[in-house]
Amino acid sequence: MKRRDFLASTLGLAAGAMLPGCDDPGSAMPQPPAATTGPDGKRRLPWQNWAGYQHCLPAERRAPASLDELVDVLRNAPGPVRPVGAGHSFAPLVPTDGTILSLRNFEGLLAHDPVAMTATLGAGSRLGDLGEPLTAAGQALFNMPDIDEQSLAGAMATATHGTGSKLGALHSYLTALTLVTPRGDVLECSRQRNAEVFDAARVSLGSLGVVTQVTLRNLPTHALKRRVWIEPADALIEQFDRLAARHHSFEMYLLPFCSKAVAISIDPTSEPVRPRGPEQDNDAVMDMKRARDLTAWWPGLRRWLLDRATQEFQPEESVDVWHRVFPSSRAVRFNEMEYHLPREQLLPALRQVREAVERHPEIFFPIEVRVVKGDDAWLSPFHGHEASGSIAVHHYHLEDPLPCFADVEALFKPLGGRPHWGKMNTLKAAELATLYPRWNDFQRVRRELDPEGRMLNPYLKQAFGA
Amino acid sequence: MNRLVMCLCAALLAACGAEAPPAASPAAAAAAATATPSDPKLARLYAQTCKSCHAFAAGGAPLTGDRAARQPRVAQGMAVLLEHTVAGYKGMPPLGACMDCTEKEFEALIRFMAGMDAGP
Repeated sequence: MKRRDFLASTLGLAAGAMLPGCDDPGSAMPQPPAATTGPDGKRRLPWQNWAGYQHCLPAERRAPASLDELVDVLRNAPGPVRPVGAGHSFAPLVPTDGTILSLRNFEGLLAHDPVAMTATLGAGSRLGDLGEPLTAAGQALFNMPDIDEQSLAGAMATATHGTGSKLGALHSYLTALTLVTPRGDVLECSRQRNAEVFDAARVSLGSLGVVTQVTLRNLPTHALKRRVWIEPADALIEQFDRLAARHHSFEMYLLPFCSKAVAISIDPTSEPVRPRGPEQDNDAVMDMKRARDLTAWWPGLRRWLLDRATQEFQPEESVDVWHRVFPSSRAVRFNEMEYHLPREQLLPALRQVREAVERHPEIFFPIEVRVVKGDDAWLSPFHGHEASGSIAVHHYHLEDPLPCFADVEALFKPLGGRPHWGKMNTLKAAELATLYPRWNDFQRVRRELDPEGRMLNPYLKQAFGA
Repeated sequence: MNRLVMCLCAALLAACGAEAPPAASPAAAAAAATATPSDPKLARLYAQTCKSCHAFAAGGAPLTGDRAARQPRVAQGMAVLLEHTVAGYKGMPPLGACMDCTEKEFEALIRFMAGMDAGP
């Protein structure tokens, strides 16, 4: 019997007992509110985030087309007023009974300076829409996240990041921004002008008003080479520091219930373009789910199968212009927890997280391990670090993530871990205040700009202790 | 990671009801790639949101203007289509890609993509 036939027949024996697990929404999952009709007679549609976990029934949805209209919304629309981008945050940053405010009409490349190598962009631009115009202007972002669906404003408000020990998060390349406050004031901010607001607004959770445009320091456009390979997980963990130091960008995915891990490196190159083939990660994740559905009852079988399946993986290499190299399609929805740790804590914590995750047989998404250069924005999770180490755990969107996330979060807290602002966590104001040396300064600036708390939904009130 | 597909699941794909959608005709694919609403405001909204998935066949979403593919969906009625849009459906995330669209805007986008405004 060939190995593939043997695997199929083995899995087939298990299938009958396990199939009910396929896409069965957990009863613990929050359900969206039903659509209703408001007092004005208009139907109110529910809002929910990309993962489908966060919901609300806003009174209004607004997408102002001009600065005057934006000022009017901020001053007069029903509060709380919450900015929304792609809805890709897993934390409840958006839900409001008041107004959901989109910046989608504040988009595009507005200006660029080829000498200073800076570009001014509408903050409502989607990251995935920036590549072509920036490249045409001869520029490139220093780095990009794994997902490029987010809006610039949303990505910066939550300190969204890529990976690379010498590459900062998106907000760390800001040289200027325009903030419209809840009272309708328009503030031009940089290190020289409204400097305190600049330090607070680079990472603000959308709590100071709305950032309408940003100026970024960039690189000349260039090509990058991406390499993907699989190694035994223990060996890759041992090499992690060396690989992270050697490569422009490096990340590792530990496959749960498998002895292997996936490595991805990205480096500048002058080699000719060899584009990536069709995206395969989404199919691979769903196949990991099917393997989970069929073998979760026997972890030894699951590991044996996954170890042998990954033996056949051949390293992949591709070369392309920068903006086609960093992001990947993430079509299989999930909820996520990610914590940023002092760099020296990364690998010891990772070993514990791996053990904790494998106490939850429902997990099938890889554990994502990245590094991020530090910066000085007041609420940046990378504040004061030379570099941070980041560990992210993903949980299928139809299944309750909280038990696993609670076990993992308990490991991060004693290490001084700071949560990604856009991802699930349970930290309250008192705990957060101890993690951020400029916490009180941020709260002071926030109260000055928004004394009535119009930008604060229940989650932010709790997180800020407001 | 695609080797996992081959090794683990080739014989088991039917287990969770995986079903590939029928491929769009070349004519439908070509028409979808260039289709745009005549109303400038709706055209801008479409370009910002639905177009990235519904104008190109590669993602598997029903194509804009492909009335043959959309007829069974249209037959379910606007209320169902709107509910699917808000809650997300199969590969489409909640609210499509429009986190701030009003009911009126969603309905206009659905009508445009389904070819419901083009007459019988």
